[in-house]
This record gives sequence, structure tokens and C-alpha cells, in this order.
Amino acid sequence: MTLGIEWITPVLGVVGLFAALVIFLRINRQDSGTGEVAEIARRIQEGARVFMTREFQVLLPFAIVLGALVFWLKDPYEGLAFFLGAGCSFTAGAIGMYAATKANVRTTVAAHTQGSAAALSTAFFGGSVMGLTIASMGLLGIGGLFLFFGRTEEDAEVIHGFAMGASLIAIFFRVGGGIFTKAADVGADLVGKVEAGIPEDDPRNPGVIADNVGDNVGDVAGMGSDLFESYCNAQIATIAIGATLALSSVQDLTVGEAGRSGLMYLPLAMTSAGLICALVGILLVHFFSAQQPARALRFGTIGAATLFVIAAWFVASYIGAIWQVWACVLAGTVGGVIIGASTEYFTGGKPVRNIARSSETGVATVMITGLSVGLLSVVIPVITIAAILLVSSHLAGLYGAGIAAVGMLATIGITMAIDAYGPVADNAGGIAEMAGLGKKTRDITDQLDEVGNTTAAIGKGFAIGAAGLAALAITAAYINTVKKNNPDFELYLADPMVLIGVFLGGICPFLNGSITMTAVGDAAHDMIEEIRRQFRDIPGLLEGKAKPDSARCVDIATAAALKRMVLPAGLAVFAPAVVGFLLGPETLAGMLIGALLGCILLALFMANAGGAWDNAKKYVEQGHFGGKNSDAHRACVVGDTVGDPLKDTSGPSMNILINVMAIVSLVIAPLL
Amino acid sequence: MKIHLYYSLIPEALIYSMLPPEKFGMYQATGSKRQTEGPAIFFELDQSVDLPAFALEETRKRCVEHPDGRPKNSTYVAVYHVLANLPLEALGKLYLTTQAGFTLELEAVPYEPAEAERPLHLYQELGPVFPRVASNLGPREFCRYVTDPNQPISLPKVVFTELRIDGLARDPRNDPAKHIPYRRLVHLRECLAALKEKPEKKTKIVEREMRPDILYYMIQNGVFAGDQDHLLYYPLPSEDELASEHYLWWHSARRVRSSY
Repeated sequence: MTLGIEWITPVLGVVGLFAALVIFLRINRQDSGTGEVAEIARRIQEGARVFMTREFQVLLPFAIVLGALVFWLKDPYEGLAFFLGAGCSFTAGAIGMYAATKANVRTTVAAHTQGSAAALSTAFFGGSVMGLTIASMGLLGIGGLFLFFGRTEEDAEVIHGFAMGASLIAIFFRVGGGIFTKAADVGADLVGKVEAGIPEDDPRNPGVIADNVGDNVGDVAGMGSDLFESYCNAQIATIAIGATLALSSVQDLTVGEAGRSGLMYLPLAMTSAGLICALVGILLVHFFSAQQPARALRFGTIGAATLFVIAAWFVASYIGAIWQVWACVLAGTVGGVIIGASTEYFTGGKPVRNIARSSETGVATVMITGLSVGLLSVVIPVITIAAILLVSSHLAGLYGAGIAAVGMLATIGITMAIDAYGPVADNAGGIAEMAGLGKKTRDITDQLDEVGNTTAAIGKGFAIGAAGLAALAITAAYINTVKKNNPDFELYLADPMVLIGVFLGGICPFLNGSITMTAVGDAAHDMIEEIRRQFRDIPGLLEGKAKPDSARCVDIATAAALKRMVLPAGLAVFAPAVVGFLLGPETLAGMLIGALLGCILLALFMANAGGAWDNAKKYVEQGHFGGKNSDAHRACVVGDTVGDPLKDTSGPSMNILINVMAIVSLVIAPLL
Repeated sequence: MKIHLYYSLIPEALIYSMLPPEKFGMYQATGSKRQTEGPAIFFELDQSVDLPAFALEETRKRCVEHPDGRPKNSTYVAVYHVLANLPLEALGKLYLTTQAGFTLELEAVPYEPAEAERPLHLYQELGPVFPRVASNLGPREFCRYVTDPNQPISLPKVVFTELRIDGLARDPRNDPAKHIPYRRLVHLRECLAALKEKPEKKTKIVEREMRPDILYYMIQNGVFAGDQDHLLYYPLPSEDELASEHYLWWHSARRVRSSY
């Protein structure tokens, strides 16, 4: 049975893409500058394009092999869905990054010629293209597949392939982009600012273009693919739970004739409504852009979330779900706000000032206080996730947990727009500095960047919470799917095979963290050597009489990132398959639980400790405890340097790790 | 090739060099292969002024080009008691070089206190000794005080700069000391407070040695060189002028190091 309204979702996907295109064309029409400004922007754009192309070349064989395995061993249609998911994820990332590299220079020019409001609009619209593309590609891909494969519970398994394809691209983008951006950032800063004594974003620094490219490939494409896969996985997991619910549960959760079809379509209906609300939120930011940037962005997000909660009530009622299902959506949305607020507190409130104060007594106390803040910061988000789980499962069982995750991610169009706005503003400041556009322009871009830093920290907390809930929903779907295919399957915590799995799963985030941290260290080393070589060997470079070889630095960061991203991706894809086939579905279930807990805890710890160290340094730079160049500042610089790869590479890769492990498990579940 | 005569303060030395001031500063700061690092402060000397205390002629003869035509970086004339034997009228332009090797040129002008005198001051002596000293004397009085031969300990001449202490100059105990990066802030507060409460005490030593990171960006007004009767003043341009006209030096002077 179908509801007859399923076509709305892919159509809305097309509408969203059209809106993204309109915004992109609007940005593209804006003045992109001339001379040095245009040349710098071109080099950043070219660097990002080269990285994307080479990354595609590395991940293509990987994707072909995995897709072929799904095609032959599981289901041909699921194999095709895998390629569709990978294609949608790649396209969303590529389009978003392309738009960001167009928007950055236009933001610079707008700040220079028109002022703060125009610059905010341009930067935010640049991020909006990414947000809308992600939401729309998700609706188009999953909604399109649902039209063909959403009729029966067996057919619905085909859609799992889409999630796996999206997750594969996400792990490459997130890990590769993360390694690139930190290698370039650390290399450019250490040699440029510290050794050569030239300012940040100085055009003489060979690593500066790579650093700006890194903002785009790491913080735009990487973050985008991360949220895209959480967004898709949450929907697909909820569809899967809906498809495998016992008939009595279906009857408990619906009124009228909605039945299983209604529950399977509900997540898509929610995200469809979420896209409309996100569009309204984007318009709100545009209308309020003349106000303080932080206030305008807050109007947009809170407006969209409030609107969505109201819309969700009507959607749930129309589909025929009981009010408790809507309450789960509400729980997810409120939970997202609480996690965001907690992140804001731990990376911007009293804990940050405590770290700054501890810098008066040296590096060791900065490290100890920062670690303590990071450890404490996991408590509220994890309790929130547990509370969402408690409320939603009490109201609507496992289906409630899935729909709560969908609620948290439904307005991704605007949350991602605000996330991507940060790196666009950061790039705009870099271009202004490199082109020497003066203090006034730099002040405007700095103000936009400052707001972007806070929104990025909140976005990270939100992404972790969403990824955790999505992974939880997929794990639940995995257990349901295994049960359906294997009626003897039972999970007991006291079963040694389950406990073995928990331990094995617990290792994965630590292994992943170690691999990615080592990768950043090694890649940064290569970068530092190259920048030092250029300062040494290019006559007149430091005096500004010769041009640096920026392309060489981009090439080094690219090669290092691509070489080192394969191992974490391999771990995420193959570890569950090896454990599942060798030790059985019980051990794999235990592994997912262990990995889920480890990933969420480590991701929160890393993101918040890194963010808190970063902001403690900024707090001291405002003059507290001696200000810049004081001993307190030097201690904080060390904390910030340690925190950088934690918050920008290893931490974010945890979200993807658990989602990839969970989705691979879901795909292989019928084979176990 | 022109031969310059420099009086270097860090380290104290009299040096002949074929390098012009900017290149000499870079050489002093980073070495010929960029393998060393440290700030440099030096004056170019007027070679028409007679300096009988030094063996200038013999040394100058050794300052010749390398066989491959490269200029001679440095030929040392003396490495101690230089300032004591140097007449102030020999001091020409002053050069401040950052650790990364960027050099700022300063010229001497007559000293006129430009603002209402602050009751308390912090001075960094740059030669011939290097303590950081808190004082309730203005720059001219401070110069006279430390070069006063009637004091138990005195210097024949002194080069020094005044460092910013902002609100601490008026309220050393309670001012929040924002953007005051000096270490041992509590000790600095105590020294300044003691000078405020006991005006008969003129100076207190805050640090016995100069730290390797000279805080050029904390200079209050400029660099002074003087003795009992004379005071040469080399004002630093305003912050806005430094940021716009001497961009590279200014950024370099404000850089952060995490390795101290």
C-alpha cells in the first residue's frame, strides 16, 4: 500500500536544488574583484579542484569494488543504490565546495566595497548552497529510491545501499579533508608566523594558499559529507525500523489506515517539511543581515527549528502517526538545542576562562585543565542522548529513537549553511589579508569569522549528537534485520561473544584517533620542510620580491592526505565485515555498541577540549593574563596546537567511523 | 664597497661591516645561513668623529671583500666597554631588528615629553647593562640618575627604552593589567607600588637580565641614549604608522613564540 504523496519528497528535492542554483547564480553575479584579489581566489579554487579530482581518483576504485561486492553478493538494485548514494554525496560535497570557493572572494569584495551586511549575506548564501544541496540531494536520492522500493519491507532494504555509498564518500572526505586542512594550517603557521615572523595569511608564505584550500576541503566538503551521511542514515534507519516493526507495534504507533507504509514514509515527510523550514530560515538570515551577524544567524536557526516543530505536528497528523511520534521529533529537536548549548558553554563559557587562568602557571596546567574540561563536557550531551532515547523509546519504541534523530537533522539545510558560512568568512579574511585590502575590510571579515568560529563549535556538537542518534537507529535497524532473517538470534549482555564485540568495538575509535593524529603529524612535517625549503631557496621570498610556489604546498598536502586517509576508511568498512563473518552477528552487535559509545565519548571530548583550548588562547589574546606574547599566551598556544588536530581531524572522523561501521553492518545483516 | 661602522648593543660590540643597515640587521639576527635567531639593536656611527679608544685603522684594513666578491659581513673592533668610550655625538641612526631579521630605522629628535607625565615608569636598559628597572623618574631624570657619578653605582652612559605599563603607572596594585605580557607580574606590581608609596626610593630592579624576546611592540615612546648632560631620543612611530608604513617589521615585532 502507498500513501500517494511519496512523490512530494523527490519533487521538493528538485525544488531545493533549484533554490540552491538561484542562490549560487546570485552569488556568481556579484563582483569577484580584479588583480591580486582575483588571482588569489583563483589559486584557492584551483587548489580545491585539484584536491577533489585526485581524491575522486583514489576513492573511485574503492567505491567500485565495494559497490560490486554489494551488487553481486547482496542485491543488484542495492548495488546501484550504493553508487547513487556515493554519487549524491560526492556531488553535494563538490557543489558546496565550488560555491564556497566562489563566495569567499565575493565576501571579501562585498566587505571592502559595501560593508558588513552585504558581506554577511554573501558568506551565508555561500554556505546556504551547501546546506540546500545536501538536504535536496538527500531528499532526491532517498525519496526517489523510496518511490520504487518503499512499497514492501523487503524492497526497502535496497535503500540501505544508498546510505553505505554516502558513508563511504563521507569518510574519505572527512578524513582526507581533515588531514589536509590541519597539515596545511600547522605548516603555514609554524614556519610562517613562528619561524619567519610574518603575519597570518601573508602572501609570501608558501603554505597560505594550501591553508585556505584546506578550509574548503576540510570544513566545507568534509563537514558537509559528514552531515549528509548522518542525515541520510537517520532517515534510512528509521525507514528500516518501520519496515521491520512487529505488526502490533505498527498498530500502536498509527491511527487510521496509515499502517507500516505511513511509518516508513514519515521520516521522509519530516525531512521534506524540514527543507521548507530551512528555506524560510535562510530568508530570515538574509532579512536580518543588517543586524549583528550572530543575531541574524540565531534568528535563522531558531526560526527554522520552531517552524519545523509546528510543521512536524501537522505532518505526523496527516500521515496518521500518533502524537507520541511527534513528541519524539520534539525530543530530538530539543535535544539538539541542548547539545548545542552545552557545546557553546564548554567552548566559550566559564571553562574557557578557567583554562586561560591556568595558563598563568604554565603549559602543564593548561593541558590538565583543558583535558578536564574536555572530559566533563561529554556528560551533558551523553545524558541528553540517553534522555532522548528514554523519552522516545518510551513513547514509540525503537522507531521513536530513529524519528528523534530525523527531527534533529530535519533542518539540516540551515544548520549546514551556518556551518559552511564559517570557512567562507575565514577564507574571505585570508584573501583580504593576502591582497592587502586594509584594516577596515579585515575588521569586517574578522567579525564575521569570529561568529563563524562559535557556530562551527556548536555545529560540531550538533553533528556528533546527530551522528550518535543516527548510528543508534542504524544499530537498532541492524538488530531488527538480523532478527527478521534469523529468528534464533538473541542478544544477551552476559554472552561472552557480545562482550568480546563490545571490547573490539571500543578499540576502533582509539585506533582511528591514533591513525588520524599520526597522519596529521606526518603530513605537517612534510609541509613544514617544504615551506622552510622555499624560504631558504627562493631568493627574495621573505623580502616580498619573489613569489612562493604555493601549488607545490597544495600538492604535498593533497598527496599526504590521500595517502593517509585510506587506512581509517579501510578500518571502518572492513572491521565490521570481518567481525560479523568470523565471529557472528552477536559479536558484531556488541562491536557496534562498543564503537558507538567510544566514538561518541571521544568525539565529544576531542571537539570540546580542542575548542576550549582554542578559545582560551583567544581569551588571553584579548588582553587577559598578560595578553599576546605573555608567558600565559605561550602556554595557551601549546594547548591550541595540541587541540587543533583533536577538534578538526580526529574528533570529526569519529562521527563517520561509527556511522560507516553501523551501515556496513546493516547492509551485511541479511548475509550473517 | 662602502664600509659601515656599527655600535651593536646585543651583544655589545663595535663592528665594521660592508653590509648596509638592513642587511646587517638580518645578518645579526639570523646569521648568514639563517641558522641562528635573536633580535639586534645597533647604531650606525659617524666615522668623522674621532674614537681614540679603539684600534679602528688596523681593523678597517681587515674588513675586505671575500675572494669571490661577497661583502665582508663583520669585522669586530671591540667587544666590551664600547659605550663608555663612545662620544654621544658619534651615534647616528638607530636600528631595531626583530628576531626574524626585519629592521626598523629610527632617527634622533629633541626629547619633549608629549603627554602628561606618568607617575611610574618601567625601563629596559639596553646597554651597557641589561636590567629591567621600575622607577618614579621620567626618562630624562632617570638617565641623569643612573649616570650620576655621585651615586654609589653609576654608568658613564646608558641606552634604554621605556616599556608600556598602561594603568599600572597610576594604580599598580589594582589595575587589571590587560595586555601587559611581562612575567612575574606580581613582582612588578610590588616594585611599582613600593616606588609609589616611598617616593624617596627612585628605582627598583624588576628583572636582572634582559629576556631573549625583546618586546618592541611594548615600547612606550622610543629609545633613549644619554649621560649626565645629554639625552638623545629616538621615537618609535605611532602604532597606526607602524601598521601601515612598516607593516612587515610591525608584524614581525608582534609575533608569538611558543618555545621559550
